Formats: sequence, structure tokens, C-alpha cells
Amino acid sequence: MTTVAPPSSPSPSSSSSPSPDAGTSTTGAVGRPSFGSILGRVPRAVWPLVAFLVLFAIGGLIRPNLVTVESLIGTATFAIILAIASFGQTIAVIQAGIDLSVPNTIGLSALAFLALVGPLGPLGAFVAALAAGAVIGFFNGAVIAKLGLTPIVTTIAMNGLLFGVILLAFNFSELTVTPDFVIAITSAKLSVLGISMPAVLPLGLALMVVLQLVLSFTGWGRSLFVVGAAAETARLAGLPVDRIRITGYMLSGALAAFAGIVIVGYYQQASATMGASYLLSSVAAVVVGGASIFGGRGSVVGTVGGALVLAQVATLVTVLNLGSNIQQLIYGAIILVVISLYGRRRAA
Amino acid sequence: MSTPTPAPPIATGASTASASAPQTAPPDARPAAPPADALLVATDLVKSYGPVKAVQGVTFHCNPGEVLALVGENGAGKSTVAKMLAGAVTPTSGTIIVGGEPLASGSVKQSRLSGVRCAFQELALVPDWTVAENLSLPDGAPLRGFSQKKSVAAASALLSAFDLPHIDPRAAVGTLSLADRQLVEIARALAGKPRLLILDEASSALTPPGVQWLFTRIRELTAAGGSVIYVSHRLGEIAEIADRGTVLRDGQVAGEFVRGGWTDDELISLMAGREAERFFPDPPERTTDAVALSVTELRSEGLDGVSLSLGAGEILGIGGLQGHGQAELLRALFGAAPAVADEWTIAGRRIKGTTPVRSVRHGLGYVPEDRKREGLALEMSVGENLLAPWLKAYQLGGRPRLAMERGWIDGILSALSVRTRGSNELAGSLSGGNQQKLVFGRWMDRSRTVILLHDPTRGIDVRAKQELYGAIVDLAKQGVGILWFSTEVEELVHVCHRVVVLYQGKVADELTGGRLTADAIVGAAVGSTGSISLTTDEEDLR
Repeated sequence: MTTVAPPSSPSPSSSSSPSPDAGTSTTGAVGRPSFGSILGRVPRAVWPLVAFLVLFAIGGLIRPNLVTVESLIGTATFAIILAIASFGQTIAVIQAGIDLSVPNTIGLSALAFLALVGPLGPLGAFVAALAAGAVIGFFNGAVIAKLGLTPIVTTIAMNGLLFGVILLAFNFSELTVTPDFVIAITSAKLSVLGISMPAVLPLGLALMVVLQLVLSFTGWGRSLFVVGAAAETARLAGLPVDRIRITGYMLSGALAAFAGIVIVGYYQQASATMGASYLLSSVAAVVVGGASIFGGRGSVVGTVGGALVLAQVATLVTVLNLGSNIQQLIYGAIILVVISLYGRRRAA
Repeated sequence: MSTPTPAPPIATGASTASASAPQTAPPDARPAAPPADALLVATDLVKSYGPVKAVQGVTFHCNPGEVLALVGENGAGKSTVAKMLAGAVTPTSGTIIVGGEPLASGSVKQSRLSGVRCAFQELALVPDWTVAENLSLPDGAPLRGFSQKKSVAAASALLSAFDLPHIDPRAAVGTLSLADRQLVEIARALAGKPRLLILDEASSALTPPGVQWLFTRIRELTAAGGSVIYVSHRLGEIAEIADRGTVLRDGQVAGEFVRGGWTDDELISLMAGREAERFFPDPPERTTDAVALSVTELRSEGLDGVSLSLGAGEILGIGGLQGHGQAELLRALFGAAPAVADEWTIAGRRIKGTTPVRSVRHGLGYVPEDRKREGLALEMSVGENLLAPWLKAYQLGGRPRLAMERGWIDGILSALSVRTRGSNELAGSLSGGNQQKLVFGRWMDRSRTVILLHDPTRGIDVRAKQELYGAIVDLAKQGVGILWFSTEVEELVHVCHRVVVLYQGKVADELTGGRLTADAIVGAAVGSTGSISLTTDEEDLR
């Protein structure tokens, strides 16, 4: 039973996608390649996948019946939803910021989407919810770029403000009539290569590929990295730093809003506090995925890997019956450990 | 820092020093046998970073009361050696003996206790702290309880003892000019009354009076039996202050010299490993009278109405002492700082004001002061750093763009002889001179009208300087107007068509033709009163 399912579904998707760390991969052969230099040439996005496989193997050792395709798909589905919620966070972190308004952007967009389906129709409500996310991001970005406030303070204030808006505007907190097309792109079962999986899994992977292409291969994406790595350098090179920052936060907000709709579609429920757990876990997924919290480094492929690690941790926590409070504790510990590990490598 | 306790750390060094008077030509010029009373003996120092050997087997010694120069190009290993002596870097192998006892390596604190102090090239001050707080930092004063009042009093006493009355101990270090910050850094090292003082490019931002101030301090220290290791590129300074010297090249000792026994050309060829050509190129013949940039009564913070005009293909030098508006002028012209002017044209087109984005669109390029913070994204690749100004949101970026621009990138890298393993290497792993070439190179062959240079040759080696001079002259030949602020007077004299000297935010003088001499620039830089006396007669002017 243990050899039935080597985790083939997540790894091809990551290896076929573009290398996220364009800088480190080709350092040229100088002398004999040592073990360390070979390790150094491995793209950062690979490490979280290695960590995931190790955790998966540990899970298999504890409970051999965990090593099944269904269990893997279950973990991957949980991970991809977390990853979709963390894509926006990735973009904020790359530009040396952070978006702590992700939780209530998720909640607001989900509730607004459900409330607007009646008057605007599903597609209109979908567009309106994404636009709301982009507007939230615009305000975040404008305050951060133009007024120079720190991203943490700005976005956490925005998060609080949004919660107030949610409580005022949506005094009903449970809405369960989910439009069909949202179910079709999220919880509907698809059969890919003979494996049955919810539609959200290929959707999330497709979104990952698109975003990674934008980040790696467009002028906007590379400008975002320059701004994140050295803002003053970007400014003195004549890059429109403020515009790049603001559009970055707008994309971040729109992606969080998209995550809200995906969560509604998959879990078929929405509430004012539905995004709360994504505050810590979105940052954790980004950081475990190899992004530098100081900016200038990160990839959405890595974020998917980070989300897989966290999802597997959640699975193990459930299997070992530790309870969800322990899960938060472990997430916090993972963030601290990963940040200190990557911080060391940065200093070396 | 703590002035109430006059501990005599120099006395311990002097006890072994039989002759503490400054010697001019020590007889033991051969590297093989350090004298028994040597203050510092470094033997076979090796430092490798992974496969890269920054320093491979460096041996030298320093006698009490002596100034030992450590010279070499950037990347030759000088800074690494200096950091090993200071305890900031642990040697991979080799020994360092200070005053007869091995130096506990890898600990700045241990080095300090052995009487070794270092003023680092990258200023190791806390920008948000005041001068007084920074000066009290090395003593671990914060651990013993800290008093603003006492530290300010101690700092003013120290600054006046070191003849630096113009620095306010209550000012945050970040608000000081680069030169003043460097003076504070040196003062902090001196405050520890070191037996051995390491000055790592400590004069790179200093003006001529600042350098004279530094030399006075060095002579005080050596007269008391202390020793100085002086790391510098500036041969004029080495000729004046160094008793002996060690030349490093590619992490090894390339040669040694004693006071008076060398010429600039010999030293340059030792450093570069080849016969040096003529140091400065001539500015090219001007072929057009077109005006590339003109500004009338430019006002900004630190600028009090500057008018100047720069022709196409002209190299216009900006001279003056640090902090008289040169940096502000370049920033204002590029739009990096807000500024207004009565009249302002770029390539004949009138503009009201500008921002960096608009300046680049109008054909300006800017090489800023601090290449690590303002010039480069160190964690990104060489190619992407070159391309940074030319990224457009809706166009390709990253690898496809690099492939498209392959020809341009390779052209820049080879035209400037950038020593890199390719355009995918991280910019942060290049040496300082090669990093500077990237900041400069991104504006080459991009149909620029004007390029603003903020002291691009500061702290880079001789060979890199010559390559930059060549590139600047080539750009001028293509009709680009070059506005070049330099702290090296000889660059202004030899490579510029015309030099404008700023004093207190205004144009003090404009020098061309026969009036363009080093003395005239320095004279104008100190203002008409001439209150600061200078000893420039020793400088080797070509």
C-alpha cells in the first residue's frame, strides 16, 4: 500500500512551472561543485515540497492508511484553498510589504458576493466582489506608498475597518444559497487523469501558473521585485515605485477577494469571521514557501509548496487528535523557525 | 568614550617598543622576519567563502609607532584582512598576534580588549541614534545604564579634543553628511585609545581638510606609540602618511614598499598586475554647441540659486567640499528631491520640475551616491540590475527580456570589463568597483541626453577607475552631456572640460582652460575667505 501513491500530482506541477528564483540558479561552474553549491543551486520553491514529502512520509509511518490518493487529494485541496488565499499575500511580501487585511477582505468579498448575486446576477456579483477587493487594495497601497505608513499598521487598521463594515452591512451572517457556477469551479468533482478531485485544485494550480508567469516574465513582475529588494534603487532608476506598490496591493486585494468566493463555493457557507484563520496561515504559507519577509524574494509556486506543508501539518494534527489550538501553535512555531533559518542564510 | 577613566592602553604596547619614535625608513624591509617587538604579526591568513578564496596566505607585520598602508584593488582582499584584524571576520586559517599574544579571532569585543579598533569602510553607525549615543556604543554603556546628559557631555569633550567642534553631539547620525559620519566613525575608533587603529578606506568620503585632520590624528597616535593600518586607494595620501606598505593582489601579497621608495606608476602596476597606462584620459573635442541641460536659479534644500548650463558632449565637473550642495544639486536635477527654478530646460525643452520617472523619460540618467542602497538591488541578478530603468509594466521582463537584450547587456559588461560570471550572477556578489560599473552601465547606449554622476569612482580600485574614465569620455564623444561631481580634484582637473565649484549652495567659481587647476578648485571650494589652510603642495599632481 505504501508505494501506491507517490505524490505525483503536486510535484509535476511545480517542476514544470517556471523557476521562481531567476537569480540563484545559474552561478556557473567554478572548480569542483561541492555539496553545498549543489544545494545552493536548488530553487527555493523545491524545499517546501521536500518538507511536504517528509511530512507525508511521517504521516504514512504513523497511520499507513493515510497514504492513499484520496488522502493526498484531500490535503492538496485544503492546501490549494489556503494557497489561493495566500497568493495576494505573496505579492505583498515580495514588494517588502505585508497584507494583514486578507482575512476580512475574504469575509467581505464572500458576503458581498452572496448579497449581490440577487440584484446583479452571479457574474456581476463576482466582478463586483473582485472590484471591492481591488478597491481595498488600492486604499492600502495608496496609504502605504503616498503617505509612507508602514504596511503592518496600515493593513491591520484596514482589517479592523473592514470588520466594522462587515458587521454593519451584513447583519445576517449565514448565507447558504451558492450560485451554480461558483460550485462548478470549486467543489464540483472533476476527473483528471482518472483521479477524482474537486475543481478548485486545477483552478488553483492554473492561477498559480498564470501568476508565476506574471511575476517572472513581465516588466511589472520584475519591477515589483526591484521595488521589494531596494525601493530607493527603484526610485532612482526612474521606476514608478508608487504605482507599482499600489497595483501590487490592488492585485493582492483582488486575489484575497477571489479566495473569499472560492471558500464560499467550496464550503458553501459564509460568516463574518470566516477569514480569521487566514491571518496567520497566509503569512505562514508565504514564508514557508521561501519568500523573504524583507522583500525582493518569493514565488507563488513556493507559496503552494508552503501551503502543502501547512496542510499536511493540519492533517497530522487531526490524525494525532491534538486539536485546532495546537495547530495554531505549530503554525506560529513554523513561521519563527523558517524566518530564522532563512534569515541566517541571508546573512551568510 | 568614558573620559573620566584615563586608562593607559598605549603604555602596554610601549613597554615592548624600544624605539617608539616614528621611523621614516625601517631597515627591515624584507617580509621574511618580523622584528621581535612587532606590534602585530599576521601569518598566512586565509579566508574562504565557500569555493571563493578572498584571502589566500597573507603575511605582514606592523611595528609600534608605524603607519602601515594596505593597498590593492577592490576585491584584492584588503577589507577582508582589515575585518579579520578587527575580529569581525574569522580567518579560515592563519594566525594574528597582537603585542605577543594571539588574537582571539571572530570577536570584535576581544579585538577591542587587545587594543585593536577599526573604522569600517561601510559605516558601522546607527543612523537613528545621536552622535553621542553612537560614540558611547562601543563601551557597552547601555548595559550599565545610560545617561543622555553624561553621554552628550562626554561626546562634546571628545569631539573638541579631536578638533571636531562643528559636529553636534545631539544630532542624529543619519542627518549628518557622509563626510561627517565618517569623521564620527573615526572619532569613535580613536576614542578607545587603540594600540592598533585600522582605517578601512576611512578617507574615502573626506574632503582635503578632513584628510589633513585625519593625518593629524594619526600622527598624534603614532607619536604615542600606537600603530595604524591604513587601507586606501589614494596614492597621494599613502605617499604622505605611510611609513611602509603592503600591496595585495587577488588575495595575496604582491609586494611591499617603504616610504620614499616607490612611484605611483610602480605601485599601480603592482596593484593591477600590469603596466599602468596614463592615468587620466583627456576630455574629447566638442563638436557641437547644443545645450543638453540648463537651469537658472535652481533652489532646493541646500541649494541657494544655482545656475548652470551643460552642453551636449561636454563633461562638466562639480567641485567643492562635501556638504556644499553638490549631492543636492544632482538630486534636484534628477527630481529625486523637490526643487524649483526660474528656467529649466532639458535638450531645449522647457520643464517646470521633474520626478525620477519623468527625468528618465526626458533622457536623464543618474548614478547615485550609495551604490549598495540607492544604485543596485543586491539580491537581483546583474542583468536585471542593468535593465531596472527600462522595465515597462506591460512589456516582458525577467528571462525572456534578458534574452532579448542579450546583445546590449553583453556589450555593457564587456565595454566596462565587468568581472562577473555572467548576467545571472547576483549583483551583491560583485566587488565594489564592478557594482559601480553596473550602476553606470545601465545608462550606456540608451540614447541619454544627460548623465548625472555622483562621485562614481569613490572607493573603487585604480583599474576600475580607468575603465570608468574611458566610458565617461566615450559617452561624451557620443554627445551625452556629463555632469560629474567628484571628490577627487585630479579627476576634475584632467577629465573635465569645465568645472563649477559650489560653496554653501551657490556657484563659487567656474573654471576652464588655463584656470582649471587643482589649486584653483580647492581655493574656490573653501570660499573667498580662505579660512582653512591646506597643504596641497605634497600632492602629486599630473
